[in-house]
Amino acid sequence: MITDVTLACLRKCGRTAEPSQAARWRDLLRYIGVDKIEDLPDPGACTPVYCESAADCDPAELAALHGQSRPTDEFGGDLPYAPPRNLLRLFGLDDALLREDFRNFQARLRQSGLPLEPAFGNTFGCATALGLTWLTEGGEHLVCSFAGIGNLAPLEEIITALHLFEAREFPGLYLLPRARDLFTRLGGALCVPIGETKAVIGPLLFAVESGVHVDGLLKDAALYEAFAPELVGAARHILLGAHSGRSSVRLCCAAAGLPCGEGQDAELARAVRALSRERGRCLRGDEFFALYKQVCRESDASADSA
Amino acid sequence: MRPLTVLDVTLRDGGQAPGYVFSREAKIRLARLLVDSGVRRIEAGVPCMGREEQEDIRAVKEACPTALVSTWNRARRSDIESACDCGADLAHICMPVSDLHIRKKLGMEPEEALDGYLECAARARARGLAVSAGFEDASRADAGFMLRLARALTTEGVCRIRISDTVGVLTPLRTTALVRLLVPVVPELEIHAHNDLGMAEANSLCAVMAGAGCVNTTLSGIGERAGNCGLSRFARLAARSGLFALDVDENDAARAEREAAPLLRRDNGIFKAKLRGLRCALPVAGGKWNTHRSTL
Repeated sequence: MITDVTLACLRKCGRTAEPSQAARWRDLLRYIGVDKIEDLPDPGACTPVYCESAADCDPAELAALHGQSRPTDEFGGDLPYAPPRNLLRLFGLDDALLREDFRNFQARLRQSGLPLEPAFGNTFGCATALGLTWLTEGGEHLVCSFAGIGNLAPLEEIITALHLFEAREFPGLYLLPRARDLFTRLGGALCVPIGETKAVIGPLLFAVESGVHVDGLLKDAALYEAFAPELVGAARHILLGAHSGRSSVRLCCAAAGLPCGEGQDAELARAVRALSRERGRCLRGDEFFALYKQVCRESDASADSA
Repeated sequence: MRPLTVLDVTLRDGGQAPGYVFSREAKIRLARLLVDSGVRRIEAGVPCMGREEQEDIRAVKEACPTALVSTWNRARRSDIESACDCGADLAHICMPVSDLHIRKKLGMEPEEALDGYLECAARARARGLAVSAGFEDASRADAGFMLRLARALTTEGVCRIRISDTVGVLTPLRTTALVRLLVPVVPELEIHAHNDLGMAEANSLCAVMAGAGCVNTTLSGIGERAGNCGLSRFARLAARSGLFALDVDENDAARAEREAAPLLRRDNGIFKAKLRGLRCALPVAGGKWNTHRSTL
């Protein structure tokens, strides 16, 4: 079960969502397929524990903290006992992946029989890897937050990976851009800036410029994309720049309804690369159009003279 | 502690990400920053792109004579010829290994591709180049095919094999399994991770824990789509694990990224205009004309 704690993390950052916005957030994530959306931690439902390092995390100590240790009388006999049913929310463990035996470490935690709900910390950028491994190896619960706010595993990365690798369906992944926009409106992007190419939710994640990649995408988009952009509500963009090749040029000409013959495409691609290097950026439409006219005029003139 | 090497691909994979254009001066500056931070291996560019790129690679090598400067090449005769003309120390040859890439991109059968790769590696070796091979799309490839190719390339004298997670779908467990499969049959294994699911650094760490000896990084993690394994982030991970003697210090890597930041500005041209809501009057120059929705 995936628990989203974005709203609580926003509150910690001083960005408390209005009730209507919080309701929209909950609705949106429910559509996406997230199991549990938490606004305020329910002390009856989970006991928070913080382990700064995996080295300090001992399942026996966790059991004692959680009240799982069976009480005994003075002669060592068992006393009547009802184990607690609430989850043990385990924060921290940022460095768990730095251990050579991280897989065994997670296995020991699972085998402890404790109702654990890890909220892996992301100080070393490993929370997604830790969370995904936890779930794929048999862990039941995981705490995440959108874009990783609150230094947790980014929700969008975890659910996309589960969708791709674990046949766990999230029918509303295509709504992730809307979640990103709402997250930004809630002030989340001020706490955790979302880069143009942030994994899964970056607005320009599927932009392509290099000739090799564009050529590959034209043959089969799966060659250079792990998943179709539509899956996460994104779109593919093809840019013309210093690494563009003939395929990009032909594609752009076709999109604009411009004829582009053999030979012209190579010449145009060379001109695009040269101009892009000169300007130090990708080309704009008007710049490409001017280049096209210039290259075509020159090639027509040389054909006439021949 | 086990020695571990970084091969930085900022100038190649980083530079080909949309919006980044490095001038020759910028490339030299970035290469010097990398070398100053301790990086000893630099992938400087793609010679088949033309004379200017070849001159850039030569300039990088001249500016950083102590670094091992390599080039990225396809498994084609023309690419190998270009690689000979730019003064680099090593030619890296990209060899697609997944069925998807071999059949759809190259239009070949796997056996045909394998023969072609070996011939290409032999040709490069005969031209006096040191050669490393990159298994493109290794994360979706058949293990048996990769093993056969790795063994044959090792016999051919290839000094290093790169596992490329081309579309960023490796997970820590799959990375570990893949590296353990190939490590026993190659001289040195290198990991090239992409960050599509936010696991580039974690996968790189798992790869070196499983026996890989070299990690591909870029400054600030720039690269195709969500980027590559970031240099300073990985240096930090390696240092904190206490298991590896990386040739790059975490503080030096962080300083290199800070100093490189002005050179790593991204300008997507059309997108900036589009985001500002600008529209051009020319029929082909609107905000959308070279922005293709996914109906390719």
